[in-house]
Amino acid sequence: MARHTLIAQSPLAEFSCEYRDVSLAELTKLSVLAIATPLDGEAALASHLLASCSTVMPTVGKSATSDDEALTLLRLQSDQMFVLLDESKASSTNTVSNLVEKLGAAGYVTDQSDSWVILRIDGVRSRAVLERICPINLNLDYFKIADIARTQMQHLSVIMRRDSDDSFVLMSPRSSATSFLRALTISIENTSD
Amino acid sequence: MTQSNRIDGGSVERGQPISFKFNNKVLTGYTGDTLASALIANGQRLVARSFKFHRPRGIFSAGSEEPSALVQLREGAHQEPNTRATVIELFDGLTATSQNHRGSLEHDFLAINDLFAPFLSAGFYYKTFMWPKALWEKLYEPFIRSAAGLGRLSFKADEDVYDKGFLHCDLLVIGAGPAGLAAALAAGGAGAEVIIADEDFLLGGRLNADSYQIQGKAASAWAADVVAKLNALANVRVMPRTTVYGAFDHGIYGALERKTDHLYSSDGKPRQISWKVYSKHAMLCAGATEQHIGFGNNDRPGIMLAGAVRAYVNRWGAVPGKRVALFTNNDDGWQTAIDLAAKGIEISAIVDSRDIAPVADILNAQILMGGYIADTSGRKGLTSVKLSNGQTVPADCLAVSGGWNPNIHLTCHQRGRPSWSEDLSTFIPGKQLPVGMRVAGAANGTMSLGKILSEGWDTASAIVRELGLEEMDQGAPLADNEAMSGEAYWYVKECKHRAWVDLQNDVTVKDIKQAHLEGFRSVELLKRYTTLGMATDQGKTANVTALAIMAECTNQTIPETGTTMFRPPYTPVPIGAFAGRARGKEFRPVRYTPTHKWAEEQGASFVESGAWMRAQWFPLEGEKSWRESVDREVTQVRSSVGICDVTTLGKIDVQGRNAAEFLNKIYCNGFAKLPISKVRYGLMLREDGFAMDDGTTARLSENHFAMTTTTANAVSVFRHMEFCHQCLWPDLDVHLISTTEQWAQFAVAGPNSRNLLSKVVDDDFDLSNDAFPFMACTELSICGGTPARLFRISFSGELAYEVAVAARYGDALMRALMVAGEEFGVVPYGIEALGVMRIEKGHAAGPELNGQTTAQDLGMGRMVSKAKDSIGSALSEREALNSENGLALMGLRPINVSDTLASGAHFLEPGAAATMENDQGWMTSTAFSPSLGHSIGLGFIRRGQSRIGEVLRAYDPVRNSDLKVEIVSPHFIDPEGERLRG
Repeated sequence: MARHTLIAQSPLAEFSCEYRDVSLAELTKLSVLAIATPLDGEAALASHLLASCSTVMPTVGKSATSDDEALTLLRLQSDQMFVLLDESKASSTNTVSNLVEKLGAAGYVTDQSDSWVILRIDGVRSRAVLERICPINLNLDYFKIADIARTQMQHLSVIMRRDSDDSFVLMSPRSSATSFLRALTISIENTSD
Repeated sequence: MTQSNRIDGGSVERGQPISFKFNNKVLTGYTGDTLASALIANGQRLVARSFKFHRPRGIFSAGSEEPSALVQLREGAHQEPNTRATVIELFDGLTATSQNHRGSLEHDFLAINDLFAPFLSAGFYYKTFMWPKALWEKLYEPFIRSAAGLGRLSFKADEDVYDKGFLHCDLLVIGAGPAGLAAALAAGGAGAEVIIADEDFLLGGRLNADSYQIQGKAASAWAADVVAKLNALANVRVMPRTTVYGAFDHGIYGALERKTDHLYSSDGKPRQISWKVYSKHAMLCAGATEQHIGFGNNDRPGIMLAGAVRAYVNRWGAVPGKRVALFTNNDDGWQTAIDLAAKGIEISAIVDSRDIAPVADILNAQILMGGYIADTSGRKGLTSVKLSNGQTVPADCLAVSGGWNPNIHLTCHQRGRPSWSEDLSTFIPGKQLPVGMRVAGAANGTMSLGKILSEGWDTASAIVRELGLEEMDQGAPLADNEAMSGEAYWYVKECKHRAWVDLQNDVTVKDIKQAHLEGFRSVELLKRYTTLGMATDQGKTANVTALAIMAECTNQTIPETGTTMFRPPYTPVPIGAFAGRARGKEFRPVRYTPTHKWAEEQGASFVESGAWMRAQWFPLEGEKSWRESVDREVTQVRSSVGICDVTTLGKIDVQGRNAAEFLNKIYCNGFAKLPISKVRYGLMLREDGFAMDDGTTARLSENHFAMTTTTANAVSVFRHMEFCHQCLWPDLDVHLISTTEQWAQFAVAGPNSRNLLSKVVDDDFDLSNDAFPFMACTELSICGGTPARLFRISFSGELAYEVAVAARYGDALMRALMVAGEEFGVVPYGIEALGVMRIEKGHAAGPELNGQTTAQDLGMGRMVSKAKDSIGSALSEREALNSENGLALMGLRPINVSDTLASGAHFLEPGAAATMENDQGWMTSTAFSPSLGHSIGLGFIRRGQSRIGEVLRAYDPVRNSDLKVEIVSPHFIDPEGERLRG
């Protein structure tokens, strides 16, 4: 029996709040893995992903989700992608360590689960809120569902993915999570009538 | 006061009366009024005093070009000076006061300036107040500064809220007059993403001010219909109260939206939003501004632009005068007389500078063709005008039209030069437009309504086709083309009185001629010498006239004379809007370590370290100074054990088949042969051979390294490595990713550090010196299975480790370590104690790695491997960087141990003068060493290694200090490193 045990804390203490026409919630059940593509190894990695995760490697700026919705691949750049593993939907064999093992030398994996605060903003007002801090064109014709982008909001780097017409998953560095939350909540306040 | 000058008609909401105050006088207006229209409706003619001469001034225009009617709006912290009454949307409870007067507006003591006008000509302050010289600073300048300026600041912090935002569109339509509305209709109807922005709260531009018809209905009604249609389109964003103030690169425009300026209170919501608009195409449909004419005493309250007079009557039902005279050089001026006469307003005289047949019959008006206004009368408001035929005609309003100048400003924001149109006697957009911009309507020099509508429509339709969309079947809206001919007439040459060109800056025709005589003939010099075209209106009603006068003086054409450069912003933008929400603690993000809350609970004192908040020290009750806390922390670490949060260190994960080779090129010392499970100190050089950063790198597996950088250089090192990878060695299989955020990392230092850690690492891990020696590393589990990394490294010089866990466990681990260390008297220590101990140990940090020092200077010259090539290794071989007279990092000890050393002091030989030639080096870091009991320092000293024992002066004129110091080894504590290897 260990003399000391460590209790995990999320960056924003599992923040969740409903506002008029928009909600904001911290997602705490997501693991994040960065997978770098070995030089000249894109095809091998793609086939590994297809075999081990049943997921096609998306093109840059796009994301793909596995059939069981446990895994979402975000293709951030030509030689890097993030994998979001939804622990609430993952099977016992679909864990971070299993994934790393399955990939083997096909990809260089770095755990990023603690590097990011992950928030979902949802609701018909979400675009108006983001419009105040996000330089990306959120028009559905330009930033489609499952599209991803690296951008910045209020000086903070952000990775964003569109979940649905009015829902976005936002990832920003953990250490500045409170500043990021503040940026979003101020935008919510400033866009309320 | 009743609304004595209000007549029927217009678009104000008469069922919604509004109460407001001007100079504490309670007045009424209607929803839909501007402050200017409401003042006119109330018969308030005197509104302001002029800048220099304190002449009475009234309302001159009906738009953002207003030079005269500047007021202070609101009160207290919300007060805003120099707001134009012509663009302030009236709201219930509005409070405005006049500005630029001593005493009341009616009785301004400084009106005496007008009597001294002959001495206050252009540039007078450059020529006067020269003697006696001593009085300049003490008397003249304070007096001039006190008298000058427009408006007064509240000197209270702005309590308003501002915000920023980003918008995107296929087409940005700038201006919602006839051209803009037609364009938005054509593009929006075709499915393009359109933003149409207008500075006015009522869209339609001149359509709301004129009596024309479009498609068989009143133009204002047509405008309202179009706006309703546009609002109904999901792909069109209609933005009233929004000024597009600047055209920037790549189709980006700056726009200021006034969200709550028309409300009594913004209720905590942003008052204004500064938008950055990304457009594929833009159409400038900003209309035109009417030109004034220079004639004697042409600045009195009641003298207004003719189009403005028409606007007040047609749009607001506010009559600027009961008896109106007109002075024009063009047909459009006559339209004012026609519209006013149709409303039953008396037209006392019409003077047209053109010697042609009268354009229209106006009942009872005296008509003088080929004439001019010679002079005007009326101290605080116009009472009569004197015509060139000698007649004096009573008039309380004089409508003046010198023609229309296209609002081309945004076409010039990227250094485009306008072209001169002889036909229109005005500047029109030049050939060099900002990329993606087109111009339509009056802004393009197209002045009649039918043509304006079709130009707006056709231009937008062309853009629609370029976007790959199908243009609308219907054609452009139809309207008649009214007569718009005119003939240039800038000023009355026969005038014997002062004739104002720039009303805002009190610049007269004579001032411009004087500037010419004195050699200030370049347009840019003319502007700065006379102040023409400066301040809130930027000379919108003055610049072209001034150019014409200068052209005449220089016997050049106007285009030869040139034009001043138009720069953003088109109209004033509050500084607060540029700042947006970035004020106070919102100015920049703050980074917290995982233990921040815990450190707060301990009462830690924090310091900003870049964006990070780091604990400096942890005071205990009874400690009276920071030094007491820091000394205690250092002493306890050296004697037992302490813990420091070092999470902020940059961490970079390096993976790939060529990771070792890559690191070997990045660091000046060797990394290719670093064994797995070992850590090595690395020094990184810049390409020029100077030291860039240092840190440790651990080899976790054959192709996997974990690098640390200094906190300050975490980003720049990562960027440097990405550059090297992507640009210098793209063929290497190596991948980088920052893991700074991923790991919470703690230094556990002191003779009991092993004992403490043994209580948290899981049972199967052997921490003994043999099993886990100095510079070892491993991945292990702690506290019952939590994955962790452990490094046997030391910055303090003590037996020390750094333990890292996933950030989510950082707070818990710190608490666990503190509990586990209770039996050893463990202390948390902050970055002050960390700094003291690294100085005691002689470790370089930021002050030593300042970008000016080399590996040689740092005493690490031998680390630069000769056996390989690495960034900076070649240039580090330069002779000057390896001189015998070079710098060396040394320790400094005060001869008098009670002296306190200070960083920044320079070293001099005893008795040497404090000159650059005698400079021997400088002190980089100092601290009080509780271990030694006196102040110590590190510093760079020429030939330092061969001068140990030598005494120098540490000369610090900034802090008035001159101390004797002895050069010693930089390693004050444990120079052999026995403790850290123990």
